[in-house]
Formats: sequence, structure tokens, C-alpha cells
Amino acid sequence: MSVSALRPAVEGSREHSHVLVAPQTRRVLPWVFFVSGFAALIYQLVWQRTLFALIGINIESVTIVVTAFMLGLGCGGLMGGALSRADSRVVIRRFAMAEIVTAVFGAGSLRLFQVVGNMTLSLSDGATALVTFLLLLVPTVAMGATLPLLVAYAVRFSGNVGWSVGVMYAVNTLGSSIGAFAATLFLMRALGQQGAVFVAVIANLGVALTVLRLERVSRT
Amino acid sequence: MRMLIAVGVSLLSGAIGLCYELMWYRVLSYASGGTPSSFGLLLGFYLTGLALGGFLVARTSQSPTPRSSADQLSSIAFLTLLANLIGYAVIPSTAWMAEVGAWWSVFPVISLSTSLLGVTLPLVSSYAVRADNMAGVHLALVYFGNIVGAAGGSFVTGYSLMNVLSIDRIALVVLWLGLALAAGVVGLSTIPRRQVLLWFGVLIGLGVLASTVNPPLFDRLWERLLYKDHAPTAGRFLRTIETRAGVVSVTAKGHVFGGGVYDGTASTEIGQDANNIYRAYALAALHRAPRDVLIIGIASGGWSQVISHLPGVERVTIVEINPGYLELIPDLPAVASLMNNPRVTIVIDDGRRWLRRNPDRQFDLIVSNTTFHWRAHATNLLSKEFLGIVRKHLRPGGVYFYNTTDSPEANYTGLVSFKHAFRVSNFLAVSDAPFEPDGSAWKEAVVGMRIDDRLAVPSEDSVALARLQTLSHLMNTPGTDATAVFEEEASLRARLRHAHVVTDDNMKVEWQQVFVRQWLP
Repeated sequence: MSVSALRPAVEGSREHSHVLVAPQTRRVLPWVFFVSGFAALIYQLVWQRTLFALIGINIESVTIVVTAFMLGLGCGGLMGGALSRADSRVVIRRFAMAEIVTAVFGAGSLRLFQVVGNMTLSLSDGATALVTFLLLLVPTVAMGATLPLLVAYAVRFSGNVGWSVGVMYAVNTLGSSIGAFAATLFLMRALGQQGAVFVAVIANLGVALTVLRLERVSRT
Repeated sequence: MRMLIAVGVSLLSGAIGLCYELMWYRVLSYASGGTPSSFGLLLGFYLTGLALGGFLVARTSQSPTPRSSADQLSSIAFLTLLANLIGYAVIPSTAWMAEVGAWWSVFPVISLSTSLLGVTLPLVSSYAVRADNMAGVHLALVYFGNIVGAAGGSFVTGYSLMNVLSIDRIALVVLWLGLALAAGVVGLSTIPRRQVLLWFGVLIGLGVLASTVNPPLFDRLWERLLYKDHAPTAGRFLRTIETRAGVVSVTAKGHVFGGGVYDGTASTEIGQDANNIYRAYALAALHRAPRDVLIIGIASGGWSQVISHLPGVERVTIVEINPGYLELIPDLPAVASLMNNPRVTIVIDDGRRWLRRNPDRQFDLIVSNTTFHWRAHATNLLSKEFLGIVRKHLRPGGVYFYNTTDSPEANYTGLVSFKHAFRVSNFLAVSDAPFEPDGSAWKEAVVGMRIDDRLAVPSEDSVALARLQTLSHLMNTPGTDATAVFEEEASLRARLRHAHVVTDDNMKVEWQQVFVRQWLP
């Protein structure tokens, strides 16, 4: 394929590069997405532990939890994509909302898992898989939605898909890796499961408040 | 068409990534002895690599000269090929590094492989997604494909492949899949036909080469990961069973290892006592008439064999999480009869879940000889919450006897969860009824025990009888420090008063050490 085949994308980028975004927002956005990824991995590591204690650590249970987590993220990605077509300010508010939903769920998550785990003890593997998927659906959909939302926002001010996806994906994943290291080397040992989740909740709320503030500043 | 290619490549790339992650986890978990840190560190290094890949794409995307789609697809194919070659090399590299005492230095290699895998999502997005109002929607589709692939890769590898193929075969299958993906991407590109043929030739050649070098690369893999710098002088395992539940190995000396950790020896002999089996016999002194017994974890079967022949035992239920052990036991003469013992029922399940799912089952004796307290998820069997579950399953006067592997926290948690306790080496017996072990009566009981219609302690075995006499004396005169074979409750409470209680939340027995050196008998 010739170079000209890429022209529509480049032209498209010019079309949408007119979206005005305060330089402060451009600078801060990757950082907040970094923190969002940091929180997500803490949740993943803690929730896996909690669910394994409730439904078992045999390979069937492990498969159920990992698959439910991923499918939730995937569904969230689709939902985030659908929600990303709105006006830029709406998109960024939706991103903040996803962080708040994750934080609220996270705050009560361990207690909720206990209650549901006790209620569903006698279920078959299939029914357990369904309940686990539904249990994780709200936070994983919220977490999964953040990447398309933020990339769609970034594409509008950068006009470059490769850069937007690359940077947002990279900072979010880097945040996740730091979250995994922090949980493994410090948080689990020092704070336990509830303490680690509390750190993640604070991180999510911090992200949401920062983004909403930036959006408000850029409006004025 | 571009979207279709992007979603397809993203899906397969996600699947391959998760296949590698599961294989790497099995190997690193085995090498580390299953510390909880091994999964977190693997995830951390894995994600660091993905992030580096993302940054790489972001940087190259800022080039003022746009790249053609043929260029983009060639790059994806090349990076997929490279990622797979490095990904495939991770497991043999871990074994090599283990032999020089530094298996953990493979982590950066994992990051290197995933950094190349990590460019796929942003790169195919850049190839297929236009910078317009639909960018978020289209990216979501590519991302969804990646996640579905990852979930599918995890499911197929963890649930199916690991149950039917050994890890060397799975590594080869995944490498072939990666080569096929690279070939598919090249085939879909518009690069000149000669280049396509060259690509295909290289990929086929690499596939054939990998098939040839695969057996030597993975030779004695589990032995090298277990014995590490002692591997060159260590022999081959007599047997290795790989199932989706884990890896069980038997050494030339008959020691059984589960997931790279010592799991016992199939022996019931108290004389030579290669596995400190006297602790199982000691149960005859801790409960006078244990009719109904639950055992959590069968491992090599030595303990279960002794317990099922204790005086008064009528029914034994064994809950084992790894079915691999059931394949092993029929081949171990000292314990093979366990499989045909009419008093024994074996259930494959998670011990904690089984107890919670069977609230009506009550036992006189519950025994848990599971694993080292520092291993991942050991909390599930040592926490205050678990002891609370166990307590509900004990009949009045019932005893719970469990392996604390000398953890002060695990011992202390038992002390605060039950009214009475008595320590036997690294095992703690707890109950709401007091313990009154009588060494002399115990010795008589053991001397009279029969296993498979033979005396457990043959009358001509002077070594066994002398050992029994010594243990009987020690039982009547318990010690007051951690080195004592037997220790009473008052001494334990005084000695451990500053220890912490293990809870499901604080996981005090885990996470204390990043890596441990496995104990080798």
C-alpha cells in the first residue's frame, strides 16, 4: 500500500486537532491515567486473593476469576468506545465517573465479596462463574472503559492515533506495573488486603477529582 | 478490512501473551517455591514490558513521515516474531540461570519479550483506527479483541493445554502460533511477493529449528529449577506429573515435590523415619478414639496411610486439590493400598471450600499437613477465620492437628482460636478439650498398629522400638523451647505471647520474604 493510503488518517487528524485543551491538561492527563492503572492492579491482586479464599484456589476457580476479570474489562472497553463519541468535555467527565464508580465499588468490595461468597457456596462451577462475572462486572467495566475514553479524548487534541494509544496505553500499563510491584513488595505486607484496597480507592478518587478540576478550569 | 485485520491480530497477540504468562508463572512459581511475590513480580515485569512497547510506538508515531500500511504490517510481523522467539527462550533461560543460582534474573527478559508484544495493540490501532470522532469506538473494538484473546489464551492454556501437554510441548505450540501470526500478517501486507516468500521461508525454518532444539532446551527442566546450582550433580526425577493443577515430581530418593516444594516421602516407617512420620503416629496420643477423620492434603500419602490405620479409625475423608497425586500414589508401594482402602474416600477439591460446602460433616480429628507457611495462599489454611471454620466441623472433644511449619504466627493463631494446644515438632494440635498425652500408652498403641496386615513397628525392628521408647519418654516430659519435640500449652503461650494473629486480611505468614530458598531433604 502506498503512502497516500495513509492520507485520510492524517487528514482526519487535522480535522479534529482543533479541539482546544489547556496545556496543563495535556501534561497532567498521562499522570492521572498512570495513577488509574496503579489502582487497577492493586484491585486485581487483592480481589483475586479474596475470591480464591471464597471459591477455592483450584484451577477451575482461578480460571473463573481471571476470565471474569478479562471479560469485564473487554465489555468495559466496548462501552467506553460507545461513550467516547460525545463532546470532549463529556468524555472526560465520563472518565472521571468511571474512576468514581471503581472507587465506590472498591470501598465496599471485600465485604460484598464475603456476603456473596457465603450466599453462593453450594453453586455449581458454571453458576459460580456467572456470579463471579456479575460480581466483577461493575468495576471491571468501569476500569475497561477508561482506555477508549481517554484515548478518544487524546486523539482529539493530538490528532495522532499512534501517539495517543501508545502514550495512554503505556502510562496506564506502567502505572499497573508499579501497582503490581507496590502491592507485592509493600502494600500486602504492610497494610493487608483492606488497607491495600483503601490505597487504591484514594487513588481513584484523586484521579476523578483531578480530572474534574482540570475540566472545570479549561471551561473557564 | 483494516479493522478486521487489527482485531484479528490484536486477538491472537492477546492470546499468545497470556499463554506465555501462564507458562512463565508455572515455571517461576516452581523455581521460587510458590512465594506469593512470584506472581506479583511476574505481573510487574510483564506490564513494564507492555508499557515500554507503548512508549516505543508513541515515540515512532511522532515521526513527520507517515509510514505505509505495508511498513506497519511488516513491523508488526517482525516484532511478533522477535517477541515470540524471546518469549519461547524465557523458560530455558530460567533453567540456565537457576543453575548459576540466579533464576530471578530472567525477569528483565520477560519485560523484553512483552515490550515487543506490547507494541502490537498500539501499532495495529495506529494502522486501523482513524483520528476522527469514531477513534474511541474503533480502538475499543481492537482493545476488546485483545482482551477476548487474552481471556481465551488463558482459558485454553490453563484449563486444557496444561492438562494434556507438558510445558515443553506447550511452549513449542505457542511459538508455532506466534510464527503463524507473523506469517498471517506478512501474507496480508502488500509487500513484494519475493519478500513474502522470503518471510515464509524464514518462519518455516524457525519452526522446524525450534522443533529440533526443543527437547534438549527443556531437558531436566524441573530438576534444574528445583536443585538450581546443585542441579549438575543431582539425578533425574523418577517421575514428573504435569496437570493443570500443578507439577508433582518424585526424586530418585523417593521424595515428593509439589510445585517445587518438598511435599513428603511415601513412608510409614518410624524407625528410619525419613519423613518424621512419628508426628502422624503421635495422633494416637492426642485423641483416644478418632472414629471419623478428615485429612486436608494427601501429598505423598504417608500420613494418610498411617492415620487410616490408627486405632479406632472407621472412616477417613481426604480432600486433595491436585489430582496429580492420585496418579502417583498407586506406584508408591508403601502407600499404594490407600487407593483401595474401603475406609478411605478421596475428594478432589479445595480444602477450605469443601469444609464450607459441607457444613454438616463433623469429625473427631481433622489433620492438615499441607505446605510451608510462606507459600502463596497458605493463609487460607492458617488464618483465624479458617480455624473458625474447622472448629465448627469438630465433634465435642475433637482435635485439629496442623502443620505450622514452625511459623510463630501460625502457632499463636491456633492458641488464640482454641482453648487448648499441644505442639508436636512443627505441628500444633488444638482442641476445646484438654490434652493429656500419655507416652507409655501411646507406645503400646503404636506397637499394636497394623498397616496392610503388617505390624507398623515390627517386633524385630530394634531401631524403631528404641526410637519409639525415646519419643514416649519425650512425650511424658515436654520441653519449653522451640527446639523441643513436644511442648505444652503453657510454655507455648508464654513463648509466643508477642506473635501476631494471622487473619485472611493481614496474611501475616505470607509476603514477608520476596524469595525463599526451598528446603531440600
